[in-house]
Amino acid sequence: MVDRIDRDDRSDARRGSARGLAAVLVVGLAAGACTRDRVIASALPNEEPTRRAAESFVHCVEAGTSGCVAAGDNHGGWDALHLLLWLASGSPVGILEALPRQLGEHTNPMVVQENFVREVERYATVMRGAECDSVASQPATQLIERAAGAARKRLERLGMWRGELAEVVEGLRIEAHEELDGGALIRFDCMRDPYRVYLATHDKGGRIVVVGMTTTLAPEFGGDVPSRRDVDVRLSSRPLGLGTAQVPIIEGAVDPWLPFPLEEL
Amino acid sequence: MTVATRALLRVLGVSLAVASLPALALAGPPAAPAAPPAERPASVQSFERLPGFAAVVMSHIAASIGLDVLPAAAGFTLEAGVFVTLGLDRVQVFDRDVATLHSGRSTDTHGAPECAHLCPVSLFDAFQAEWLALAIESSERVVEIPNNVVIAAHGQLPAETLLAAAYAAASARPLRPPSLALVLGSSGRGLQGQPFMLLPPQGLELGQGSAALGLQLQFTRGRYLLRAEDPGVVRAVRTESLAALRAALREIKKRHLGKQAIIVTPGEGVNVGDLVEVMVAVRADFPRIVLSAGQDVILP
Repeated sequence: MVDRIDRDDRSDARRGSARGLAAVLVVGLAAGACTRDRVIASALPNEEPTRRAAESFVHCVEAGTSGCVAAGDNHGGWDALHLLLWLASGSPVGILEALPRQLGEHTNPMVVQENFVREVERYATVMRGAECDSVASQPATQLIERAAGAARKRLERLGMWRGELAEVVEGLRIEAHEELDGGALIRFDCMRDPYRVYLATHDKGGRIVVVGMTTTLAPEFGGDVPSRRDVDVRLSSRPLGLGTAQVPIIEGAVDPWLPFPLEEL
Repeated sequence: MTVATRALLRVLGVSLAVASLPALALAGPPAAPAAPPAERPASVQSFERLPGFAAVVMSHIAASIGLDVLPAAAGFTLEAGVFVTLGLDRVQVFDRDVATLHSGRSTDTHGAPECAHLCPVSLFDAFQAEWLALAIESSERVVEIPNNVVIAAHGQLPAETLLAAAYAAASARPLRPPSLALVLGSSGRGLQGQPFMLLPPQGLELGQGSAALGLQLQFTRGRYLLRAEDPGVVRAVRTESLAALRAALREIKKRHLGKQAIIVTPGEGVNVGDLVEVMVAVRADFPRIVLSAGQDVILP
């Protein structure tokens, strides 16, 4: 279901993409920024259009130029799929806490788009030096079906599958199909943090645009379990904000492991 | 965004909600108006209810190890958090298998330095990967990284496996160790929890003037040794009876009313069921239960 992208092909693509990047930058300079209507034509090899669009997006982010996320593109399809993937593999405690709010946000396209922008911004700095290569692609259509099926089974198993939630999953499935069919999820492997980037593409009347991004995907959907090194680095990385977070200090406590007053010991 | 840009966007009919998005990533040629709000399925808009945390944990345990193998006792309300299930053949975080066990023991004999070798490397790595997933979820879904870990363990599981899993989960959490609770099957009351803490992996050494009693209970099945760091303050008590242990604890409490904590060290052959029995016995007088794998406690 996940098509691996051949290494030689990838190297060619990287070279081609570099040429493409130059073309994009030229167009960008002319237009003042990367623009949603840029046309990437003959400079790139004859590779999958979805992958080409995803690589252009990554280069746009790496270049630090403005205008990688296009206003007006409908990101709701990706948001629907991302919600399904979350229901299928996210933490139940997070789902219990945030699902109603997340669904509320999903009904507002502006908020959906803002969330996508925020996610791109979060990783923009680290992606610049991460050396990300596209390595695999999978059609969105099948992924949507697998995510919806897995979400249903999981929620049933956890006793969360009630009438209302069944309708939600079905609604998200339909919406994801309507807006993402014909698109793909492209996986990038990076040499450095964030190590993995997944970009969702959408075919909008023949113009392929990137409409969503995540840095994690469960193994059952084409992701993988991160290595110990990757986990170590990511847990202290800037995008997640844990490396610089203040550890709460409990006044008078015995130790961080024993957060009660010393007199009680 | 400049005033001019705002004005231009207003003229062009681009929503200021979109226009206020961060400048780096948002593109958007001014001429491209944001998409009109798409129709969302009515069901998405009307979603309201979800089951409670304890109900979800109960469903999972029932399908995983079975509710009847949990240690039975009354406890406290289960706080929502990461739930870990320890069967005799596997470790699960939420509903994902993260490690295998053989007769309730890990086959990985390499201790992780991060938990002072009190937990196997493989288990530490598995938990750290889970905390990373939770940290990413926290950033994407704007939720807190859970501060609680609740552990549902088979009553026959060796207590040392419970401790290894608890140390792995707690050492791997970013920023600080979580609050911990053991899941109890309470007939007629659903699932409840027994909170506990862990002695720091490197042990505990307190400086002068701490005035700590350092009450400790070491036990194997049916044999209990109760003592404090200073035998002049609390004389050691050896007993083979839980009732006698309770009585001794009550006497100590009478003389040291402000003390709430006890360090409990299960020995060889103790299983989770035995441990819960002891926790229930001591908690009336010393509700802060600190589990230990036998590390040093050095008090002045």
